[in-house]
Amino acid sequence: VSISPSDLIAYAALNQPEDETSPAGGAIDPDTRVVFTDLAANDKVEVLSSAIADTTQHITVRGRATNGSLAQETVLLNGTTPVVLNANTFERIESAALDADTAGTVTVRRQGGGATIGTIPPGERGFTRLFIKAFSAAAPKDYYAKVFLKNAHATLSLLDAVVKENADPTGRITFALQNTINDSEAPVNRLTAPVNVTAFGNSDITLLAATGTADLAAGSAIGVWLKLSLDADNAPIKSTYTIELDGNSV
Amino acid sequence: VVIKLFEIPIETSQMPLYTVNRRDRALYIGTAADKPADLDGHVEPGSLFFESDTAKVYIYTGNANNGWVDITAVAAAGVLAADSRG
Repeated sequence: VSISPSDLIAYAALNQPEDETSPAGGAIDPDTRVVFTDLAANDKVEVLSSAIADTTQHITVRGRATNGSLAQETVLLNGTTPVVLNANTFERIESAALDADTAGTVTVRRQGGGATIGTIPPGERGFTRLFIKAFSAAAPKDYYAKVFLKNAHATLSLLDAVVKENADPTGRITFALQNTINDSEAPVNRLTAPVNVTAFGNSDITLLAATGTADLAAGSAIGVWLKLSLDADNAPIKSTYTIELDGNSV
Repeated sequence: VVIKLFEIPIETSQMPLYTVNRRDRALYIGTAADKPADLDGHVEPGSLFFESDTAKVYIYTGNANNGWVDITAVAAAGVLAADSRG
């Protein structure tokens, strides 16, 4: 069977610092994705699994409360019965993290069977926002965050792979690719630019140009760095950035 | 052709706790609890902070993360030098 879009997955890097002193980047975190749909309005959230047997795992959902403060709540899954996180009304979601693998797919959604925020497949542990707790200051600042675009197909390579910027609503993000597949470059902090990368920009970058190899092999991932350039005293941002992975498949 | 889009949520915040004219350097006075986190990134490099409860003096380097350097000894030497000149 040919590669389908569902075989292409965006994962976080292992280092997801929320300060300006801890290491950034690193290798792929195959347990944590970076794609989810944020709340359309302030709301409480609920969680449930697709498997009745999932009753022993805890999930921690983190977000910002309506006053802007970070808030989190941990609940025990109750199989396919929704469990509402009652302690907080969230203004946005930052992350969700399981403490153990599940048998079913875990869904985080708005309470009362509302819109799905994100799902966690069996064997994975959660999802996260990028640039959590980044902030502008009196002088301009550049933040860097790394994601991995993985070809999760069992056997087929993604041919002539190319990474593109699809949407940049803030106009503040550029991207670059690592020079090697499955890399683990980890700058000393998220204010430090990675070294082994292509130039940052908004233009398409082929895997061939970045790594010397045109095809993204089955099970392989390419590191993509996002550079967030904040002006002095840049206004707060709550937005998204859309990156695109294209290729061909036999 | 296989095409997959990844819409990734992001955020940043701003900490406009102090409005500072970038040309100005200032002397801030407060207790140790007031410094430096609340001022980091919001004051002009070269600004001074006198920590009233410890009698220490700090200068701000411009580093947004713990950018305050203890110059109490330098300040004390300056006072002594001034005293010695009468």
